[in-house]
Amino acid sequence: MRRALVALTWLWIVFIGSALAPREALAEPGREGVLVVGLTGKYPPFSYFDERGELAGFDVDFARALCTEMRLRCELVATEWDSLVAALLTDKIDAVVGSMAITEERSRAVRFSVPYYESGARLYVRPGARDSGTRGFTVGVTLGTTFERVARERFPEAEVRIYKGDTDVLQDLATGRLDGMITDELVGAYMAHERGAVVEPVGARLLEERMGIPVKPGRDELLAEIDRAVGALRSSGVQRALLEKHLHVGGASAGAGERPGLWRSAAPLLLRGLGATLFICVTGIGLGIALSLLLAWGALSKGFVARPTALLVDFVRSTPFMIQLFALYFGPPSLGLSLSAEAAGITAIAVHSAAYLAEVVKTAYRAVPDGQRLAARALGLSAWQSLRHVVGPQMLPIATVPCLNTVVAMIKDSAVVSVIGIYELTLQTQRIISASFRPIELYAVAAGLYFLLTFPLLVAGRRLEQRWRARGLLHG
Amino acid sequence: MAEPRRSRRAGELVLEVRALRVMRGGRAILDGLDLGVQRGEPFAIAGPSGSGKTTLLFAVAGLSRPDGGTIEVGGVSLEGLAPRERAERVGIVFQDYQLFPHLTALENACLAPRLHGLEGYEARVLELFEALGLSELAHRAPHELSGGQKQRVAIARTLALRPEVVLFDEPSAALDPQTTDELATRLRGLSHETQVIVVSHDLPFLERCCTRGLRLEGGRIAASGTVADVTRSA
Ligand SMILES: Nc1ncnc2c1ncn2[C@@H]1O[C@H](COP(=O)(O)OP(=O)(O)OP(=O)(O)O)[C@@H](O)[C@H]1O
Ligand SMILES: [Mg+2]
Repeated sequence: MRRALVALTWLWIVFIGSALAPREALAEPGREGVLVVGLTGKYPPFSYFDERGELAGFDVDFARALCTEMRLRCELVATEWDSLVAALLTDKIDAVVGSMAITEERSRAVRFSVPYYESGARLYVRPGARDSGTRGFTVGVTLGTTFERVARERFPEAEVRIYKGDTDVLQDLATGRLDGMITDELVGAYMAHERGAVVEPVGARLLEERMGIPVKPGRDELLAEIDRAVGALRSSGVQRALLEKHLHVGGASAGAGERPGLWRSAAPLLLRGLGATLFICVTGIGLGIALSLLLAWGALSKGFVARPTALLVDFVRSTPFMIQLFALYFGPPSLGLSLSAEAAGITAIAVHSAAYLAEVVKTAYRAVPDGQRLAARALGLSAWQSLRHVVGPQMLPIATVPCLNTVVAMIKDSAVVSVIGIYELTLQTQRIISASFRPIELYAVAAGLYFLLTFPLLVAGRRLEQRWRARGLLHG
Repeated sequence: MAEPRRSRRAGELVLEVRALRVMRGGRAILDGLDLGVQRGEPFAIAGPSGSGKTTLLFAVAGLSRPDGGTIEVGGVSLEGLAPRERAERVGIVFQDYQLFPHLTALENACLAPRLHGLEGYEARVLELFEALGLSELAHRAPHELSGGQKQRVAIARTLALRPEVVLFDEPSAALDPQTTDELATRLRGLSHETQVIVVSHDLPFLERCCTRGLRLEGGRIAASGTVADVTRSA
């Protein structure tokens, strides 16, 4: 037993080490000599994760070139497309080099640099798709892009489906759930060449787009410096060279069958993701357990704290985890306190699990008969001794299984923290998929890894329950 | 350090309750109750259901705070005593025993003396187990014991702290006739080392184990004297 504990602790330390090694998501903007650049990592060939799990693409290379030109160190942060502007406004990042088209609407929220490349959107369809003018034609676009509005205006009969990124759109196109997609023509050309994707362009350009680099309003010096650097990169030919490199390469990595290294390159990434998931869960839930005891004590107390505590617990239990996560990640900066993605994720898990665990603890406390507390008091035990030696040990069998169920649910829900760019198991899986286009195998493996984390807890819960039942400590 | 032995002379006033008042739900359940118990044979408290017997016991055992009056054991007021000191003066055996289900019989009896740091408690508890015929059952869990066996463990648990007064709430309520007889004998035997006070509405049982007592009715003493007096007037 003790030896197993020691082994587990070592395993744990190793996992923490591997989880903490890549600190991509932890960049702090506004630091001397550093430019923190946001992008999605889900928009090949502009930004995506290559087979080694590294960020790659035109935007990535351009961002690096930009930093060099500005004599700054580059830190790249991959965030969901719909969180990029929020990240900018809350100072999580300094700038977005993420193929963001300059529009009037966006210009009201952020300040754009001069364009760093131009392109246009086109419709791409899969072979055998319905005609784009007919009812029932389904077209996929990425949430919050200019393509979304274009789709609704130009194809009023079509059903427009919104996705988190082009990678997801492509997957549904491949399975036939979508007839077509609207995306940048450079992207479309790249898909046709590189990925052997089964799409073809239809019709003319739907709109012209100029891509800019947005910064937070008020950072005029930074913007001026970016404008200068973009101009320099365009006039020196670096921008052109990068476009050619990323959009006209010959079949260097084309064809689905030519990727023998998938598992070899994916395995360390998946393990790292597993380690990160384990780390944020153990830390978050560990804090949550401590916090839950405090909350349960507050809710059970007869003092004035009881009502506010119960209200807090109910509030957390009746709001979505993802909203709590966003609130913790994007909320504090407006109060002058910046949480890193990992800190926000761990805090969200701690708070969310604490609320559920507090309820379990409270119920368990009430399930121990009052007579037991009276008996402890009659024997002269102090309140603490009564809790420690009489009530607590009886709460344990009552609370353990519901607690383990809560923990299992929380481990599964921890996948949600991928949306703020924490490289846990789910996000690692998605990033490998965005490079390899093999969603079925990779999601199956990810599911298996989650199962490995949670199933032993369920089994342990069942064993303990049986044991306590045999000892007469559990009824019903 | 061992407890200094308290003097135990028969006839001295071991429990004295004066003007005891207990309110429940805005109503006085006990209203100005006076009561004195002299050291000696088990003392009976009879009375119909709802007359306030359990309320009185809980107040004496320090499980509820009285709304007025004083309670003294061996001349010392219970008010202001630390829980541990109080438990070493007054013990109680509950009607439903309230054994700790996660502990064995022996652990039940050892818990309090161990936590209070009483010296030599193991020997004391083993002695009690021997005397109560529990030696064979020491390592059983409470759910593996019969009602009568549970009661004996509860008695051992209370006596382990050597209280001057031990209160029994309806001890015969859940026992068969033979076990009830044994219990009556046992309670008489206990009076050599502690003052036993038995609450019950089982008059024949009280007659078998006690010599003096009182009868509660509506929170007041309706009769007191010998058990015969108390039960006859009922
Ligand atoms: N918390 C309470 N609120 C209001 N009334 C109460 C409360 N607890 C007890 N009582 C009342 O106090 C009275 C005395 O109760 P107590 O339990 O002392 O009776 P008892 O003599 O032990 O009865 P029994 O023989 O049925 O055990 C009863 O009328 C009961 O209804
Ligand atoms: Mg009663």
